[in-house]
Amino acid sequence: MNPAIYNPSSTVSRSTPTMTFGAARTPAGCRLSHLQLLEAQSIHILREVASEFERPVMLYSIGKDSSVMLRLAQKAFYPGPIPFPLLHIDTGFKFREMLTFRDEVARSIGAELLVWRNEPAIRAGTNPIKLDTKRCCGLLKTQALLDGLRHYSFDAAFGGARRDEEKSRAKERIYSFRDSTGQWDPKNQRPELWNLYNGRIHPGETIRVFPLSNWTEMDVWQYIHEENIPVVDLYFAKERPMYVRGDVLLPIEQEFMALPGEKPQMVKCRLRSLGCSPCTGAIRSNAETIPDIIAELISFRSSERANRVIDHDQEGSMEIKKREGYF
Amino acid sequence: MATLATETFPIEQFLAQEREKDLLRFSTAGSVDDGKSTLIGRLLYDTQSVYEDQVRCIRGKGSTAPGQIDFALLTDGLRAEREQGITIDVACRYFSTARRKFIIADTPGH
Repeated sequence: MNPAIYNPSSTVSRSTPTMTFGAARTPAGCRLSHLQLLEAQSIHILREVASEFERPVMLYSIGKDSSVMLRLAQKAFYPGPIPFPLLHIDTGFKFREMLTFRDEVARSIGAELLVWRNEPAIRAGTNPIKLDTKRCCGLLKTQALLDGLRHYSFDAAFGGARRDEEKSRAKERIYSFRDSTGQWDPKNQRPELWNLYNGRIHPGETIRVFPLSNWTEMDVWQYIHEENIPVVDLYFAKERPMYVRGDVLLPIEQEFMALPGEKPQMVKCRLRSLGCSPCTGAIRSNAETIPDIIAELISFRSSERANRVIDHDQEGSMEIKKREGYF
Repeated sequence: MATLATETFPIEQFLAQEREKDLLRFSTAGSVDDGKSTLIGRLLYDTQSVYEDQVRCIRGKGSTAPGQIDFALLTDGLRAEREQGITIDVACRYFSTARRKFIIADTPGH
């Protein structure tokens, strides 16, 4: 057999971290596709962190990026189980379908699932109308996340954030260091050269790790398609009752979101990005399958987080939230 | 807009084409105010890798002539960078053309 065509020892296996500059430089006869290259990098990061840190955890938000990250974690340690638990920060405003999906996924892959809620704030009736979105997010997401990480003494938390999502996320390192209060200092980040990651932290400090840093929204959907990864049904177009306000379609999950006398209408729509139901708008769409979504993505002219109210509550909104400890 | 999203979309053909694409990583190098971020912003804009809401956010801001888009604002993702009109830290941005996918590191002047 011609070794240039098939040579088991030179074939880049999924376990080999590949970081190359320029076109994928791989042994003769083997060429990694763009997605395989991204996959290999992400798996390398997952393994690095799992071996370097005492108590890693994966932040599982139930969305498409989390679903991809979870599959990568399965692959990284297969046939062993995922060597860290999943942590979901539940604000109490997540879509019911998301919670059902979350429990099903955790059960089906045998992962340990932890859920953390800021109970005092939820009991006090915190919501984005009573407070503003900034303070609501601060209590139900950021504070809950920081408390949850501290409660379990996690020192490294994987998140599914991607650099192409938002311009302050484009400034993130893959290993993102947080001081003892969980805050991010974007002006004081460590250099990250090739595939070398410096995981040294002082007592009390933690890191957030973003294995999907280099993935784009298109890569995520292509991977979901090729790998057949289950995602929440809310991503697919269906007739759903919505409050229609001009271009904005607001899910009817929470009654306090209705204006006086406002009646929901049935609209064929889907969610492009999943967050808390009061702050996540749907888009009109006919995309019922993943190929439909990929086709729709090509035609999109607005960004995936355009429907997230919390990104637009002030100038530099995401950056401020991130500095405070949001992921 | 919804016209593309029909069952006639040749997904397999599209994916096959995507699989053929190379991934190129590159970085800018140059002095302060050479226009590194502006060039990258322009590349993102011309390859249609920025969305309308992102362009709307920066319209009428920045340091270029009135009515012109300051493309550097697309890559200067930190508030301090936009206020001072300089790039302080590296940003990674992504775009693709028909033949290739690109990861570009936008660096501060040096």
